[in-house]
Amino acid sequence: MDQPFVAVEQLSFSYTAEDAPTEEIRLALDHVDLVVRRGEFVAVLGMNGSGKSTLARQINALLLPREGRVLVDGMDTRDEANLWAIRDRVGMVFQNPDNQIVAALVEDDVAFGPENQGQPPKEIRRRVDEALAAVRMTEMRHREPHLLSGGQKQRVAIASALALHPSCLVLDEPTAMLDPSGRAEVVETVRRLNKEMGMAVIWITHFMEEAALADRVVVMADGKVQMEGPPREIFQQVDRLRKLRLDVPPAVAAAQKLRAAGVDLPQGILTLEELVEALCRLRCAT
Amino acid sequence: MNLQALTIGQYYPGNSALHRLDPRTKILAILIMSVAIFLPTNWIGYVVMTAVTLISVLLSQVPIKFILRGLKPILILMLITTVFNAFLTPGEVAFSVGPCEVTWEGLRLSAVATVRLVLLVITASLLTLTTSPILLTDGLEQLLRPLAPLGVPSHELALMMTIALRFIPTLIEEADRIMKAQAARGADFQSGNLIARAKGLIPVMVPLFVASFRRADELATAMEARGYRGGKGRTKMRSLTFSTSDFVTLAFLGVLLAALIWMRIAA
Amino acid sequence: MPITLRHVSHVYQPGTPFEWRALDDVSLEIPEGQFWGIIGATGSGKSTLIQHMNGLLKPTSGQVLVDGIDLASRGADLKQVRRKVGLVFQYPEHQLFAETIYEDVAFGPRNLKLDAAEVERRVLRAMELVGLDESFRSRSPFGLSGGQARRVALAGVLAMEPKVLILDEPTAGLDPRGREEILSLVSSFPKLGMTVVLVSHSMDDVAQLADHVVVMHRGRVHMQGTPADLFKRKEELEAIGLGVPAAAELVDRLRKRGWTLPDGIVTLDQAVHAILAAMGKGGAAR
Repeated sequence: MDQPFVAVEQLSFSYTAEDAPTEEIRLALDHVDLVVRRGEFVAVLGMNGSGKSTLARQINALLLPREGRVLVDGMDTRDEANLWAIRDRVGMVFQNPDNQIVAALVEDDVAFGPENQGQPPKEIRRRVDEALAAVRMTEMRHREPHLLSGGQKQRVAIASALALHPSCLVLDEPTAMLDPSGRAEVVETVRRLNKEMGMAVIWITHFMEEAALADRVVVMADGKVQMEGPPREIFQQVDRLRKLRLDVPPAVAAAQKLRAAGVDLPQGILTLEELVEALCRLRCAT
Repeated sequence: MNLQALTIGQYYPGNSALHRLDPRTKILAILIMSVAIFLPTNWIGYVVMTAVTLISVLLSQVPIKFILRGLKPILILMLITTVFNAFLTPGEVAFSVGPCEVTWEGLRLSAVATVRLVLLVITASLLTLTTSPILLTDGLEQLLRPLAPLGVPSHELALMMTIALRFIPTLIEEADRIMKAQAARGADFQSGNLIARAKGLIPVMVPLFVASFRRADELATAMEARGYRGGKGRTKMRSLTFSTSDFVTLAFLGVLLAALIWMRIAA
Repeated sequence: MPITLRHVSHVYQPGTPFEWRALDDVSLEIPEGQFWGIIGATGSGKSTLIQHMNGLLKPTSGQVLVDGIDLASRGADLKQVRRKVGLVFQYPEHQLFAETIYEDVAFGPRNLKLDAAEVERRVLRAMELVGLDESFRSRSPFGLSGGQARRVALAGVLAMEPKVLILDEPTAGLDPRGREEILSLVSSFPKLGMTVVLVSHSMDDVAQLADHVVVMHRGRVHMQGTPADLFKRKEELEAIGLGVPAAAELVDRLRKRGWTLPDGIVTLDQAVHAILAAMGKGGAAR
């Protein structure tokens, strides 16, 4: 049973009209292939305009392929009959914490999804309580959304997605508008959901510290997949990442500068701690 | 101008008998009272209505000053009504003020009009003071639902009200921020005549509108992502249930209404 | 042209259950021509503080002087103050409103009742400063990319030709390329004769750019000093929920392992330099 949960096959998409002259068509996604397995944590890294957000919206059929196809749990997104089933399986969290909260009370917003699904009231109540507990917002359930911090609003958005009982969470730059503590809250929450609940996670970002937390990193630019692999491998390719106008974690940058000056550091250093270890080992060796 | 000091509705949090009534009961109560207030044919009727209103005020445990606050906007109306009725009603003259004559009929009509206005406003205030906007929305939705097959969009109306409630504080904050940003660029919202000040609000209104459209767009996408497909087949987590006090209240008001109608017909 | 705050306190909604002391006895003297950084957790009072500097908020107690003039005095012309002290809020692109970029940038100078020729001069100069060429003049400010829109908003404040420029998180919500562009722009302002006050959550940005840093905590000035002095005090900063630049973190960890490294390292280049020196400029044999 190794059928991937999400399978993107030769996906192409453009925002320009289909009948526009060929010169004007700019492909937002250009023959993209991607596979996400159950329980996997995949980060999609790229600049604005790289196609990463467009890709996210293809996975829950908010956008449909122009060429190629997207399969979610075996269902083709282009088939209208599958639409609601797909959206039950893939929960989505967007960038702006305010613009995804519909209701005037936290728990009402979390209930919105199951209400749409037509669940019986007792079941909705159960799911709401469960979801709020999973994001540690149970105490705030009667709060009005505008009184919450950015991090708390995003956690509510995550709970609202969880209440659908999805197998996969897609988060489109969920921390871009948050301060450092809000960002830490959201990262911690999603990591926990991935590790403890086995939730598949597709995390769209341009922050490399976040991408470094994933099982697998997919780097996009110009609508194409440029690099793919575990974070350790990806972040070693400092020059290539710099060319794509992406940053590298400070430890990687420092290690590269030291190597350039002749320090014999091993490859694969990702964190400050690893750098410190390696430097100490070198010093003891002399 | 501190926009943040505004509050929506006049909800006064509490746990009184009135607060605990189902919102539908209170909405229906207002409808019944609005009709009942025009029915009495003699002073006994008005005393009864006033007593019912006063008892409701006491039951609500809302401080008097909040109730009176609701009357402020209609003070002028009351004054105009009183004056016009007193001076312009033909009948037996009670006294004169200069060339203008005040009749007994006029005084009677003024009194009746004033009493009706005051009772109406107090009853309406009691509704908003003892019912949170969210519960009001729930109540209205459930009341309108049976009318849905007749074409009344109860779900859509309720959703619109909910979203409005959700975003009004956010929009107020945003307007405040935009005003500050423009003030930092030398914009002046205080000086100038009415027209100048209206024009001066363009740098605030335009960004607010643009932001609101973007919000609406993003919100709609988020709603679709969570499976929103209109009101059909939709369930609700919370439902309102009547309790004994609701039945008693509605029964009492029903009897009151019936009695007033009977008295009117008999007269 | 200093900004002086003397024992400034600010209480929101005094006498109500929502009373909140946002600033508590703050005294600061910002001298001309320097680059100041203000850091602090959300809720520490940074936003309230900067709004006092151009008279948008009045202190509940204490004095604010701009160019020696007490803002509360009768002679104080707030419009002139706002000309001298420019304030750029977070997400400034949310304030764009005019039909063309030219008109939007001209809003500030026009409010100052300058003649058309002067307005034109200032608008074109401001646009040039932020890197928007002539072709942007008649374009609509809506429909620009995030980074471009932000630069238009920045130009709108620069066109006032302020002596002091206060920026609240100018890189919020931007991707790495956008951040780089805005930061390099901001770092050029002192050369143009402006005093700069930068409110930021990024210790690395502040370490790189600031001459002097003020740390806010619960409405009070908790600490202040040069980046080198301040970021030495890692434990104190961590106790109030702040971090230190990556370079300072690296140095701290190496020192705990017995390395002898000089004080005051706040940038990665400084750190790399010091590490190489400590290793005898060459490290272990290749």
